[in-house]
Amino acid sequence: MSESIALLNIQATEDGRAIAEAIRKDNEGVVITNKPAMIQIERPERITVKASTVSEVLGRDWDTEELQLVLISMGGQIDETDDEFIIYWNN
Amino acid sequence: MELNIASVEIEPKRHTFNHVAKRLGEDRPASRYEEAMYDAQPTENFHYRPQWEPEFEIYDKNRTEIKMNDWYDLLDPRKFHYMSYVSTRATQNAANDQSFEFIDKRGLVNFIKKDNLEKVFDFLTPLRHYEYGGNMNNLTIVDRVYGTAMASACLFHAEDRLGMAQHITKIILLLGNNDVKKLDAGKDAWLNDPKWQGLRKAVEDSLVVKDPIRLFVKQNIVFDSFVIPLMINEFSKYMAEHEEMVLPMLSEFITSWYEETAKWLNNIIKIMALESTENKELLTQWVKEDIEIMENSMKTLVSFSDNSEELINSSKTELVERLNNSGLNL
Repeated sequence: MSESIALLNIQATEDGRAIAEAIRKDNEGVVITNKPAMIQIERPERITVKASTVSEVLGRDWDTEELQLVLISMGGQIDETDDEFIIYWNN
Repeated sequence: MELNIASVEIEPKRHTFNHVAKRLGEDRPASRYEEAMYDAQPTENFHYRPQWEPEFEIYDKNRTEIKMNDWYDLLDPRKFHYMSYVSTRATQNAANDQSFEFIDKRGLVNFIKKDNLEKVFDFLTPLRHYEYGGNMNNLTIVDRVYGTAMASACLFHAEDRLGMAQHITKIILLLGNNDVKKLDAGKDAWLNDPKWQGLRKAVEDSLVVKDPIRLFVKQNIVFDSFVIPLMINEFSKYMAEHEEMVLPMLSEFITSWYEETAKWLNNIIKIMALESTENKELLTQWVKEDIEIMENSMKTLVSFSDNSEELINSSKTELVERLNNSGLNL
């Protein structure tokens, strides 16, 4: 069986671009596609958004809750803590 | 009937400016900070040399003794460009305004003990002039430094300093019932009161420093790491110990601003020191000279506390530790 693809679509705003950049650093093999006004992020099994990496890229403290502000759609199950926002498939 | 809505994907021809893409190594969407900062300053085809300083070009790397292969290595970790800077400061100021309103609305100023109030006027008001010196020094850096990375960050810092001077003015006017004579008295103390003269001399000597990075080290690294921790943070602590909580509330803006700014300052020192041993030695020597100046000029000024020597020493230790972490050898 092929692996399921975890999916995250976010708005291509200033914050959105920084989040995508942080995801690129933390997730090996992630496929990031720039669509008009949207960034599509795909990776087999899981995408991890680390608050510490996003904060570093943005240059200010970033909270995982702020992901909601640029979120368009997701594919997968969610595990959210203060430090990480994880989209994954458990199948 | 089946309706089929097809989507057309339009691939943008470029994701960012060519000169930014060249730096990033690929044509990916750049952040606003990168687009606003990278290579914004002209680098060639200067037709005329400045008449007032014909030994240099208008933008010239040789105005400082510090050598950098690429002046755009000196990035600001806060990523300040106009919008992010303005919106960050606006949010901070909104929070700060609430403290002012809270104190004003409840008339808390009336409950401050007279002794404490006099001390605040005495030790805080003249700092307006120190901050104004900081503003002028940072504008000099903007004028003389090479590369937009430093120039824009220092310009924001210069505006911050003007903001801090205004912030102190607001505190004094709130505590002094809008009596502008308190401000005049502060200026008089800055000019004539013996305890301020050491710091005033240090500031006035710094106003004529020509090397922009020398001035950066003097004002932003060494002077500030004595004056702000001692005259704002320690003074607020002293007030709190004497049952006075209004001042710590009012000066919190400056304290948190300084914590944020230190991240940028540390990063600049770290990158310059990493560039070459010559840079590292030069920075170390400059810092040593300035620490000596500040140790002497703060002696009379920390007189609000009984253990002023200990406070000055701990500021020094903290600075040395901070800079050693950034790669200097103190």
